[in-house]
Order: sequence, then C-alpha cells, then structure tokens
Amino acid sequence: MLFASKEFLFLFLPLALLVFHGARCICNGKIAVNILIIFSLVFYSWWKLEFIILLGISVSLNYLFLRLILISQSKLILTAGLIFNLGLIAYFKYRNFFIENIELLFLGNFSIFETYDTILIPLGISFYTFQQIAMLIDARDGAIKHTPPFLNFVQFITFFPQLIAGPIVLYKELREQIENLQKNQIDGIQLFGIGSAVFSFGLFKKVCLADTIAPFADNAFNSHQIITMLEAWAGSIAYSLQLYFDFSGYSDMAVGLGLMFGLRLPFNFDTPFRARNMTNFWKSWHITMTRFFMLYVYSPAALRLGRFTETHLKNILLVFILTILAPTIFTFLLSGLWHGAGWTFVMFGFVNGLALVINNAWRMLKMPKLPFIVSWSLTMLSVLISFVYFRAENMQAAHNFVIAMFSIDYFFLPNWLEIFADEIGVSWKTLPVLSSGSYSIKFLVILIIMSVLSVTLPNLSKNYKELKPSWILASAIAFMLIMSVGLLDRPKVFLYFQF
Amino acid sequence: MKHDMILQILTSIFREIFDDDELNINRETTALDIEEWDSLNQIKIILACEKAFNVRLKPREITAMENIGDMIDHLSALVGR
Repeated sequence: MLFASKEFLFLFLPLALLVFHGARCICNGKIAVNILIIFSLVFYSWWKLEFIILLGISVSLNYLFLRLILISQSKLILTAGLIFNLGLIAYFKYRNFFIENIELLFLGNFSIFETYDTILIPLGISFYTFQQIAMLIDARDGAIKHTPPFLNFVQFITFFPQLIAGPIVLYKELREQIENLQKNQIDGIQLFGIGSAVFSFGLFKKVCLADTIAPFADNAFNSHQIITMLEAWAGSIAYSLQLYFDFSGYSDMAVGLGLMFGLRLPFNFDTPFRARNMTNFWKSWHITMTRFFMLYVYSPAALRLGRFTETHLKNILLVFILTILAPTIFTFLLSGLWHGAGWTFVMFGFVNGLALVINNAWRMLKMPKLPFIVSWSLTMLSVLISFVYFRAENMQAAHNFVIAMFSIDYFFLPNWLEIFADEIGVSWKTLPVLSSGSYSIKFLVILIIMSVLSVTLPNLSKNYKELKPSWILASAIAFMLIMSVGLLDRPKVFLYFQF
Repeated sequence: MKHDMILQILTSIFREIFDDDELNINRETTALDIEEWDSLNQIKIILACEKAFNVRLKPREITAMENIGDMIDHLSALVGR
C-alpha cells in the first residue's frame, strides 16, 4: 500500500486515525498504542503476507539480543546480534549479487549456479534492520540503559509511517514520546492539524512534482544509447529532481503521519540542492541515513585510524590517506551498496566519497574559498554524475550517459532550433528525447519550474513548529490536496521502496 | 580540573581545528552554531581532546551531547577519575 494511493488515503488512514484516537479518548493511551501496532502490521502485510514472518523473527530476536546486551554488556552478544542482522540483509538483499560476482571473478562468465532463484527483497528490510543495529550498538555503548517493554520496542520498529523507507529513527528520539503516548499525553488535535498539513505537502511533492517529471527522466535513461549532450544534461537534472521530490515527499508524508498519531519523527531533507559543498549536501540529503553511517561506520573507523596515525605516522600524505580518504571512501562505498545490490550503486557511493575527499583536501590545504556559484556548480556536478549511476540500469548505460554529457561529439541542437543552428554553424538533428517543439518546450518549462521549487519550497517536516493556522495555509493545503487527489491515478512507484 | 579551564582549552582546540582565531565558544554552543562542524572535524575534536586531557573518548560520545556544556561536564568527570 503506497501512501499516495486511494486505498491508503480513503480507507486505511481514516480508519487507523479513527480507531487510534477513538481508543485514546474512550479507553486509554496504552490500548491506543497497541491498536496502532496492529494497524502497522496490517499495513506491512498488505504487500506480501510472508514478509511479516521475517519482520516478526527480526524484531523478536533483536529484542532478545537487546536484553542480553543490557544484562551482560557483552561484546560477544553484540557481535552475534550484528552478524544476525547483517546476515539477514546479506541473504535477502545481496545473495545473488555476491554469487554473480564470485562466479565472474573465479569462473569467468561460466555460471555453475544457473538456476538460483531470484529472491524477492522483503520490503523495508534495510531500514528496519539498520534501526535495530543502531539500537544494539547504543545499548552496548551505554546510551540505552533499560530494556523497554516488548510492545514499546515493537511500536518503535514497526510504526508504519517510518517502517518501509525511513526516516531511520534512533530509539532515544522516540522512547519518551512512545511512553507519553501510552500515558495519553500528546498535543492531540493541534499536532494532528500540523501533521495533516505536512502530509499534504509531501503528497503534493510526490504526486504533482516527482510523478510529473518522472516520464522525462525515464525517457532519457531508456535512450542512453542514442542520447545527445543536451538531452543527457536535461535527463540527469530531471532525474535528480524526481528523486528529490519523490523521496523528500515521502519523508514529509512520514513526518506528517507521525504527527497525526502523536509522534515527532526526525526530518530527512533540508533543501540539499542549495548546498555549496559536498559536506553540506550530505548534511541535508537523506539526513538520517547519513547520520547512521557517520555514527556507526565512519566515526569508529576514522577515530581508530586517527589514533594510529597520531602515534605512528608523520608523512602528511599517508596521514591524509589513512584519516580522510580511507574512512570516507569506505563509508560511501558501503552506503552506496546499502541502496542496492549492484555495481552502479557502489559507483554512486564512490563518486560521492571522492567528491567529499576532494572537498576535505581543499579545506586541509587551506585553499582559497571559491565564489558561491563556482562551489555550488561543482557540488551539483558531482551530485548529478553520481545520480546517473544511481538511476542507470547497468554500468554500461551509466557510462554511455556520462560520456554523452561531456563529449562535444554529442552536441546537437534540437530540430526546432534549426534556423538558429544554421546561423551559428552548429549541427542539429531530430533529437529522440526532445523530439518535437511542443514536447521539448513543455519539458524545459517543467525543468525550470521544478529546479526553482527545489531550492525555494519550505522544509515543512523540519519547520512545522512555525506553522500557524491561517486562511492562506488552509487554501494552500486544499489546493495541494485537490491537485494530488486529481492526479492519484497516474502510474507510480516510490523510488526508495526498492531499497 | 575546573570547568573554566576546560572551556579555555576547548576554545583553543576549536580555534585550531576550525582555523578561526576569533572563534568563541560557551556552554550553550552546539554543532549547529559552527558551520564547518562535520564528521571529519568531529573526529579531529575527539583526537585533540584525548591528547589535551589525556583521556579516551568513545566515537559516538560527543554526538550524543547536547552542547559544549555537556562536553565540559563529561571531560571534567573523566579527568577527575
């Protein structure tokens, strides 16, 4: 069930809200939270009933690991817990990728496992597994001191707005909130009103913006073998905008839904396309995932390497390689692979890691600060290239696309500019993606409007506290809802569901 | 060690890492107040503190702290042990 679907908007959500808040008013908070867990499980099993068994096993065993860690503070139990979680994700998400690559490495193209099954990736496994890994490590660190009651733990992991595609929440962010919810201490209708505004905004971003530009991006990437330079640039910008509005729209909807049920979830995006360097970009793009990787992968690795180099090394280049390059690239390769079992995702991580290393080297060498337009352009260039790898079907398609972006041989003006092209002596031809005049002008207008919106729209899931009831806000929400509901029937899929 | 002295040492560490001789921090300063405060500089801060106060810090300890005040209290407790 997608958030942007009729069955969710007109059946599941109203029913869940009615029963949850009804139980809160008539019975008590504890019963309301338990009812919410049931709704979350129904939501999850809507796609495939079998997935719920795996989720049940994962949650139960992680609860056991958590208890044991808190009783014994044993590093061995933490290791066992991590192996269990990573093993689960490796089997369901990466098994075929590993087998294919091992075969390729040792046997050339010859495949001895010709008939291995394609495993269906359980929905949201990357997200709920990471949330539980963080909890186990925090327990061993001493940041979590007491085992929560089992149902509080289940509510934390399965809360349906964040179960499928994040945000990746830390337990400390929700512990007190869940307890308050059980005591029926929430701001009630006020939080519900704000939540519905944030949700409507997210729905609008997904249905009206992301889904509008999606066909243009698809068209460009499906034509990678014949694409021209202008089309490749337009296609990569279109896909970046689609990905941003799709996932930030989803995250807004998650935060909005959380508020409707009395829980404040962390925000995931902070206008990333305004970033003037790669560090700022990753501070504002998929924030909770970046935080996970920084806390649990980068920091321990970089700190250990930092201590080692402080005592053993003096060579500045070696220090740079070990303290900055190695942990950054390692973290980004892993985060790339987290997005999907494919080399294109690894490359996506590598491009971002490399750009970040260059950014840090620039700072370390105390080079002059670049003018905003230059640093912003370089940042966006890195992001666009990395997103080409993120979107392309395979490495060859991605390479074709990047070559088209940067090779002057692929520069043609579209046929509708032939008079202008002849005048300045540039080749023109019928471009397959920007095929006709009206189509390309429409595309151009959408591209410009959405580019402007991507850097000007407010971050409601971050700044919802500033929302005050007003006629303007009410009209804006009504407009967004009418537009979104009117366009609901267009074919759609959330990009981040595949991760 | 007195809190004032810890703040003084932290100020000089921060000025060195963020390459800003005018930088002033107080108990209320947070990571959000310093634009350049990122994961890399965080590691540098931990390493510099470990050296200056002769203590061992955990990688996630500083992230869990609300502000410099928490950091001072934590370092003070570690040094006093």
